[in-house]
Amino acid sequence: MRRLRVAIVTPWYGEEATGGAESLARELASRLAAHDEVTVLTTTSRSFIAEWDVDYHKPGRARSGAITVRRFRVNPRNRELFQRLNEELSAIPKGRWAELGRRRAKTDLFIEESINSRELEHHLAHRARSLYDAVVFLPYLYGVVVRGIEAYPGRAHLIPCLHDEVYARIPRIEDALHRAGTLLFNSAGEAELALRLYGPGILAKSHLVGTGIPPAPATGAAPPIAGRYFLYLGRREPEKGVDFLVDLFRRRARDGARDPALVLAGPGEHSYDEPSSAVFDLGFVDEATKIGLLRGAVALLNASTYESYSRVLMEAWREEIPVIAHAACLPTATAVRESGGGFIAETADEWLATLREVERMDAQRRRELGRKGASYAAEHADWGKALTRLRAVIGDDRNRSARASRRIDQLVEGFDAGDAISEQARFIQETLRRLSYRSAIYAALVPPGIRDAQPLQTKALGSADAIIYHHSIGSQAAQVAATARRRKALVYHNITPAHFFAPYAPAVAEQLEQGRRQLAEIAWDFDCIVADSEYNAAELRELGLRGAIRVIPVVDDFRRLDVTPAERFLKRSDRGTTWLFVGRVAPNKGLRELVEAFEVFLALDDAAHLIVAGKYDRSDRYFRELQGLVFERRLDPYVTFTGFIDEPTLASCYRGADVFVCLSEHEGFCVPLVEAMFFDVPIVAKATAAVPETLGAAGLILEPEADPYAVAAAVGELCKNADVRTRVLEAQRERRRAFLPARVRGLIEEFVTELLAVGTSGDAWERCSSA
Amino acid sequence: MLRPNNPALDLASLSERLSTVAAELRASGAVEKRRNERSSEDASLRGLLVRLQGVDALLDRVEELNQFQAPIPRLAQRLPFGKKAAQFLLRAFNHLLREQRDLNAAQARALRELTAVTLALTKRLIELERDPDR
Repeated sequence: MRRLRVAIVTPWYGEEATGGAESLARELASRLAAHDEVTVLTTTSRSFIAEWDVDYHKPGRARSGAITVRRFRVNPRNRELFQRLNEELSAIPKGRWAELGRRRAKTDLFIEESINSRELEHHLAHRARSLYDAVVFLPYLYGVVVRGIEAYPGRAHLIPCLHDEVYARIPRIEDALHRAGTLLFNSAGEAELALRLYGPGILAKSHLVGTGIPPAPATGAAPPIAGRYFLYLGRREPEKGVDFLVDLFRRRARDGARDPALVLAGPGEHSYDEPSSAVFDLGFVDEATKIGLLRGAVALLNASTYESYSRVLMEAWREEIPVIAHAACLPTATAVRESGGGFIAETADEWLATLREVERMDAQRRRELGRKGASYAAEHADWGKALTRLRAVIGDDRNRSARASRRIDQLVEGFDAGDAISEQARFIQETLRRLSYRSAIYAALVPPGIRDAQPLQTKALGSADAIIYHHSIGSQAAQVAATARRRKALVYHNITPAHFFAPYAPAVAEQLEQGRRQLAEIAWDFDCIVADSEYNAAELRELGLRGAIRVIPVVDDFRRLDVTPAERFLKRSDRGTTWLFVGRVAPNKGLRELVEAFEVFLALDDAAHLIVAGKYDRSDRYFRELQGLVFERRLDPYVTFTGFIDEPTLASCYRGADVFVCLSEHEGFCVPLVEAMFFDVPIVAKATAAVPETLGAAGLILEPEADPYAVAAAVGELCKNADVRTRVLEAQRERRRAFLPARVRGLIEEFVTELLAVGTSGDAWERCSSA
Repeated sequence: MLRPNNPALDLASLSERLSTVAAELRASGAVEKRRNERSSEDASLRGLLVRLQGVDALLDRVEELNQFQAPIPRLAQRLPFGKKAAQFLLRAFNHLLREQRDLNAAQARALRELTAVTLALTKRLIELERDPDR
């Protein structure tokens, strides 16, 4: 095992720095120090509850056991301004948190006046690369971390300890998450929360590392309370949901239910002791008493919505005690859902019903639930496993790949930024390079400024062991691929039927026809065939190809969307429902129907807005016709054709949208549907071509003959009916798992292995056709 | 109306609700009423937008006429020249007018840009009229 030089950057460090993230930093440092050379880079500030601009500790280096602690002086700060900004932020209702993206200037000050250290930033900017193999930052919220990552971009490993709170929406904080090289999450729920907050751009660099709890002591003290009780463990504060729990037990007491009682234990200023309501506050208890309390509890209650991991949850499961957690807290709710180790509840009535259910349960059943939690905790709360996962990420240096031996090149007709086929080619190239293959992309058309693809050179292909050709239109590259005497694969991305383009762009229609003719001629020359969807595979079978056709979705790792959204299309409180469609303006995209359906919807919501995000050509007849329709219906203030947009603007489209509406008449896969699912935008679509296949159980799918009134009614229902919206979103979250980069990468790896196992060119399909 | 793709949804009642809303929208004439309201709102600025759209269409025609002439014009076919001579004359004509074509194209491009800017400004004005606080 290679000994790594690891730096941990955290605002406060030491025995006096209490709190979840501070404890995690200490534990991480001490456990890593068993294998690695650990340096903690921190400030001279004493703790979260002390002044953040006072040098309490001495600056400089000191040893703490096997760990080097290097402290840097804190910056002076405007405490009053910070306090005022913090109060303003805290006062923003949850429904308007998303609007913070438009208040960058103000929220930047929140970071500037937070705890910061210029000396630490200087150290990170100028010394860190040479002194450390890996720099780990935690937690996400403070200037030391945000500005530290700015000083050390691209290579920072961030353990965000993310909570679903207003601060997580501050644009400068989001910048830090996008600038970090990797994101290391404590729990699956925390990773899911990050995905919902920051979009699919972070997927490729997100890693579920987990954390750990100590092993259970053999004995615990006897619980200092008689009778049955539910237990709350942790800080006794309103923010942790303690007030909520006490209110529940007051209601139970009013209804005559005083058994089981509620027992609270943990640090806190205020006592909640209220025996008349069967609430007993034990205050801070020692470890042995805590264990004793856990072992005697009916269940552990955790009503906090601000958790990224919840250590006590894992401690309860370690003791085989079931848990009731708040459904609105994604990290804890996900852990309970995935483990089956308890229940989740959201409203007070749901909590009361769940408490009744658990108290009536026999001990054996409760133990069964607890055991399910225990097996989950054994995986997700084990320091040994967590450290192995952490070291695998921070010790990974992809630049030191094994010596490349074989070469697999790709051919596309045109290569352009943001185009789905080009992005997939890039993703395949990256996957090949990870597998230690050399790989280049050649294109017949390469716009200026594009570096990932090279102009098509037949000679260059001579040194390739295999070729992957992407077919979507009549193509010069098709002939080159078909005639190359190499192992070769065809990736079929579908060809839009020419009749859509014939009235508007006869030349394009001809090129599409040519593409279909070419496909019928060349498909037999390839050793392996891949299609984006079953729909596309079926088209190939219609040509007579009878061998196995692999289906690999035309998605990539979404890394291009690892950006903070621009302000342009973010949510605004004065706007109504925002409809979004992403795709180029083309006759097969059903945009006329989209505009007509949107006009109907204006009768339901006159402040609605439609954004069509995609390239258009001002001189294109179809675009002019569409624009004419918009003018004729007087819809121009409500409809925006964005034209080509960069990634931050595209991200702002998805983040600001209330609904994604796709009325396309022909799609071979439709990547924007997948992007919408990852951005948690509910979808309404027509069941045409490959759209139903891409959506699966996700979205609201209308029959192709649905008229604009039906489309508008469906969007209205999705936006106003919370239950329907929730069910659609849940189905989308499930469906999008099929398009996770890791899964698609696995499919690509299998396909490449098969391709290289092929003998000589043409063999595979000759065998298939003669079979 | 709806595909039964999601078992978590009560499709029958959902479809019924959608059909009811769609039927009400169709019968109420609310869509046309709203369209008429939009037409009467800030009519003068909207008129400008329509005229600007017209400029764009005229420029399309200019660009079309300004193309390099390949087929022999019908009128020239009546002249007492052979086909090869007519093609030679056409090529010479195209060659002589190449600078004029470049000039025309540049002017059309400039005018198109100007129209796009005016269009954007007019849209912005309409937005500001609708929402003066912005």
